[in-house]
Order: sequence, then structure tokens, then C-alpha cells
Amino acid sequence: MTKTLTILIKSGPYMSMDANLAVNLAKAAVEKGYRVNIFGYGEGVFCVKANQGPKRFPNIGKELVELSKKGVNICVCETCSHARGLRKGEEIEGVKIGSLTKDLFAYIDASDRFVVIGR
Amino acid sequence: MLFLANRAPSESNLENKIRIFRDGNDALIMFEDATLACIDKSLVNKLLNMNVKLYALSADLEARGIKDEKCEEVQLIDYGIAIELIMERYEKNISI
Repeated sequence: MTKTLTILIKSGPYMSMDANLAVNLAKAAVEKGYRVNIFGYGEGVFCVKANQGPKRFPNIGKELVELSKKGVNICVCETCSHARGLRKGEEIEGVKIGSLTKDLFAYIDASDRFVVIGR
Repeated sequence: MLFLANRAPSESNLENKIRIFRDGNDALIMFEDATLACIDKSLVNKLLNMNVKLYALSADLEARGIKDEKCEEVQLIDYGIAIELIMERYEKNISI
């Protein structure tokens, strides 16, 4: 049976390389045929903000859209998003603004490996 | 246990975390700024003395200009091998 990897990203994009690490691991896992889930928690919710426009760095939003198109499930914590003013409708396509206790727990429950990135 | 590090050793306080490694069973993958540990011979030797297997992302060492300076015992890998270690070789991982 295909194994599943869930990545928890706790950092926002561009202040560190954490989001890049999450994206790069997810890409490599997809290429190897694994199922992948990504959950954004805390500042990590900003990874799914639409209309990101970094001038000198890989665009994390676009990378996540591409991963979503390849079947990666992406969800961010609704409470964290609300706390930061990230409203529904401001997220990139293919992303769910969901629940830590329902969605993340469901991801972990269905996962063979769980990787935490960020602080 | 597979340990994953992506912050500079000074930031993650890697030297003080050495005690969490168990002799002979553990491995460490160094991503991004954590690859700076590869040029710290004293730190690398402490980890090797505990039989910790050391892996580092080749592209991250290259990006930091330290690929030629890394200690010989560190094995260079790409993201594909990192995923293989995470998904197949080690049952559990911890980010440090």
C-alpha cells in the first residue's frame, strides 16, 4: 500500500527556509509516489496566502498550488488564520482552511510518517 | 531515530543536543543552514563518536560554498534520498 507523509509547517514563507524545506520534501515524496498532506499551523498559515509576490525567492504559494494539482492535500488551521486576519477566500486554490483537531488529526491518523518543520 | 535539522548549529544549539542521540541507532540529516555543522570538525567528531550517521543536502552545502570543506564522513544526499530515509529507512523522526 502507498505510504503517506504528513508535513506540519509552523513557519511563514520568506523569513526562513522552513517553507522551502516543506515544499522540497513534499515534491520529492510526490515524485517517489507517496501520498502527501501538508498542514499549516501558526505563522505557517501564511504559506497559503494568495497573491504572494516574492522578487528573489521561489514563490511558496505557487509551489503549493502545483503540489495541490499533483494530489497533495493542503489544509491550514482556521483558528490560526482567523487570529492573523487571513480570511476564507484569501487562500490559494486547492487549499482548505480547516480544523487542527479534525483535519490535522485525520491527516496524522492516515499517515505513516509525520514531519514537523518550523518552531 | 532519524533527526532532521535545518537551522544553523549555533541557532539550534546542536552541540548541547548531542545527548539526545542514542549510540549506534540514530542518524541526522542536515538541511539548509544546518549543513554548516559539516565544517565544524569538533562537532562532527562528537556525533561520529556516538556512531550517528550523518547526511547533508548536497545542494545546500554547495549554495553555502562549503561543499569542498565538509568532513569526509558526512554523506551527501538529495531530497529524494532524504525522503527515502524518512519514509523507509527510519520509522520515526524528530526535528531539532
